[in-house]
Amino acid sequence: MRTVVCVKPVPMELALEAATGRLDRSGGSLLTGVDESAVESALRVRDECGGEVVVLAMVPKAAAEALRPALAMGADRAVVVTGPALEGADLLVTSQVLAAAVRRLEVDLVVLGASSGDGAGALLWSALGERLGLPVLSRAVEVTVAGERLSATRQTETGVHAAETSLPAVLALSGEVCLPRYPSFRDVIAAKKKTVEVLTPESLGLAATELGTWGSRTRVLAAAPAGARGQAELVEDDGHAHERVVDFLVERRLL
Amino acid sequence: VSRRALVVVEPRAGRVPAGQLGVLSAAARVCDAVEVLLPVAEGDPVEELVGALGSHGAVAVRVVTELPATSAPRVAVVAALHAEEPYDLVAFESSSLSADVAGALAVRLDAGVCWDLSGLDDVDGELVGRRLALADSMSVDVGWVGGPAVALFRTAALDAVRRPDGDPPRVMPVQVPAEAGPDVVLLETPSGADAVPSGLDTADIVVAGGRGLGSRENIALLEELAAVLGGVVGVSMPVVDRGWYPYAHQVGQTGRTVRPRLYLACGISGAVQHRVGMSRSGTVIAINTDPQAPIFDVCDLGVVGDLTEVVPRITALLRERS
Repeated sequence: MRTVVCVKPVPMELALEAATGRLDRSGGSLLTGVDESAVESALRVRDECGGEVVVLAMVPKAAAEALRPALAMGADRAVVVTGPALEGADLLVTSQVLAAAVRRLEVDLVVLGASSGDGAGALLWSALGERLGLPVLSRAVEVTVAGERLSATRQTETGVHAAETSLPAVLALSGEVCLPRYPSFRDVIAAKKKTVEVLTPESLGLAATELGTWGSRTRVLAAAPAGARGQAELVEDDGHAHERVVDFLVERRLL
Repeated sequence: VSRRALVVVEPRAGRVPAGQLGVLSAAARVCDAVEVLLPVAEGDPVEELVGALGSHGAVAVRVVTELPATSAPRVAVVAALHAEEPYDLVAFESSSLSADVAGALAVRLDAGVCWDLSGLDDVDGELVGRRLALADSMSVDVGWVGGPAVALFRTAALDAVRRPDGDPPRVMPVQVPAEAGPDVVLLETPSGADAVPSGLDTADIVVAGGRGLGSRENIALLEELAAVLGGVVGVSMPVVDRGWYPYAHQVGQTGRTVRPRLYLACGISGAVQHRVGMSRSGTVIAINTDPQAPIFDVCDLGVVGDLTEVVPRITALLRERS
């Protein structure tokens, strides 16, 4: 049983590049809680069924070390696809690159976290499933793998229900569904020795014309600061703040 | 140029939700011919649904029956319709289901997909999507290259606009292609408290709570205040993750986007993921013990205090005054 967890380290500081309107990824990156939760879910599948957990990310090179915490948690190895040709990749390109990397690994289960902090995680898993020709079980809260079946409780805006599908499959989790295990000092040291394989899109057989802004089917046309709220009125609760709140509601004709 | 669009809707309780009619209205404003894909279940009032779609700009309604609430058959139907006669725009209101459909569809049609849109315009003959990014601090214009434009709109972002009476839409049944691709099987239909629509999308007033509630029991404080104000309870992701309240009430990036006249944020720190779900609210009042909480940067009135003390006092004072 081989599980791949697709993670997306996000910049510590969220800002858009003035020139391109794209996310500025020049600084350091972190794994989000949602991604840690996805790694934890994959580790639990391994605890139950045996096998291997591989962490996969498509990142600018600077962020490769951001996968180290996932290795410290217990993932067996990491694969990073990186290269300048990936800059400006949209959903189509990202899903193509990840699909190429996943195919190379021959996996039984692909796990993604709920939503990356900076974009459209919610579209990525279904795009990836389509590329791989695999069923997609999304918005999962509780996951069970037994034999060739993947079962889960799903949580959507229309309710909570059970769903299942056959492996191999793409599994997308709903939020921080489980508490990530806390690595010991020994785990952290061991993680330094684990393999982080660095691939380029070229090594996956992808042509430059399919990648980055070339391959993308969307464009950022303009970005500008949006109208902000005025300075807020702040009050300290001295036992009477509720009176100010009610007066404020009256002033704004909200009652 | 004649521009064709398909809007995919999902009726709930025999009605097309207002936000989805808003997406239809926006598509009709920038396209010459807008079709709607309408999945119906047994007992749905098809004629009424078609009427509502027609009065919001649909020229044709493609009716499909007995569709499970999964993405694969929808992707297959839309791809088949597109193969018959291509669309320039395929639009959805954002939901768990429509996001699954849109992501797969983009790959199947080799089409660009823009998400989280709150507006759509025609600029010099090109479609331009309007989107707020980075906790709504930035306004971003996005465009599509080649192929059909796949567009996902924020929930409740667009107003439904009734059009002057035109011809009623043509009604055309469609079949799901036999080989719809791998899919999941839904074992139980939603039930219990979770199956009840939260009413968040259309709420005028939202009383929301976060991690600062401290316990499941304290949600009653929000419910009491919401009852007095005539509002709906919203919660942030940590509250749902802890199992304290149904997901249907979650506000934020992985939940619903709301646009009420009043948003009261109690014990919510205001992480980016939450702010994108509420930043377009009219008036925002925040209550938090931490004076450094980012929610205080996006509110109109901020109270530094303990919600478990302040909220019951607001409720009591409002009751007293009414």
